[in-house]
Amino acid sequence: MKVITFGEIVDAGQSVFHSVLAVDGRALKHRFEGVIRVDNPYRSLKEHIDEIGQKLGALSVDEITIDFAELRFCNSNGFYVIMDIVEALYAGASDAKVTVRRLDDDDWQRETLPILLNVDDEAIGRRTSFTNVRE
Amino acid sequence: MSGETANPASELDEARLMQTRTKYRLSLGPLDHVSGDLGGLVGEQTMQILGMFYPRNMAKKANVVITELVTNVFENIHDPKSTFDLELDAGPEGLVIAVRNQVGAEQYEKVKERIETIHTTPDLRALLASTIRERRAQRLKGGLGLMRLAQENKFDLAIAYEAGTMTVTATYSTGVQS
Repeated sequence: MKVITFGEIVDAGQSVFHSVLAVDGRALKHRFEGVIRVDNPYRSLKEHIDEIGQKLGALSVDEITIDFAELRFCNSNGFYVIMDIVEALYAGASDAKVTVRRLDDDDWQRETLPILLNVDDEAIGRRTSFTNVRE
Repeated sequence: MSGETANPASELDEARLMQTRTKYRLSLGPLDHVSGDLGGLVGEQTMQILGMFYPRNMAKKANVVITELVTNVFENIHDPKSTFDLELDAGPEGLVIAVRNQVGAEQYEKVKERIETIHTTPDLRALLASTIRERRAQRLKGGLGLMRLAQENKFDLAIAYEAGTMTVTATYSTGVQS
């Protein structure tokens, strides 16, 4: 897999969160890792979010895996950047099927993540399936 | 002396571990001495401790509720020289976490109104979804935490106000009798 864009949050001098988009042929994998606890995650990730749309425009993609299994915590301020990123992925590869990998025993990934993905929207819901994994 | 024989911790199964009683109280002040992410630190530590005894999911709930409630304390400081209290009580029947801090009457009314809305809305998931979308459009901070605790983490929320001190209590019930 080749990494095509990477975003990071550094808090108190430590790298605490990574958002990594990689491509392998016609398959994309976006991985979230770490914790979002900072006050304004958008400040750290704005360029990365913009880049996702730009990079996807040049690719032909059949499938996307969005992996939340390594995202250990997300505060309410993190919701909007998650929405920005997944929206850019869905829009940038509008025909691709999307598999969301999430933690089975994590309330926010079971309850709130579907809201952030907007799976209640019929078109998005049709393209999306979930894989539940245990820690 | 008790006639019960102590078991090595390694021999206790999940059901026995779940019987553990964990209580603590953190009292800290003045608030203006705190410069770091205290809610995050206490939340993570609590998750580690509770994770020794209770299901992972319950330990994670404690992390979320402590993070949200303690962060609220520091985002709405009424008196920088005051203190705040956090009380936790975990056991087989569930989890009770209370956060107490000084607030003005206006701030109390705001929080009370949010909790009343949570209690009276017919569809909490729909309310959370519409609130996230509305607030995202303006990139507004806050306003989601309590709703999240109720909808996402299944906490029952209560509020009290006495002599300028507000107490927000979040209760999660496992359905098991202690």
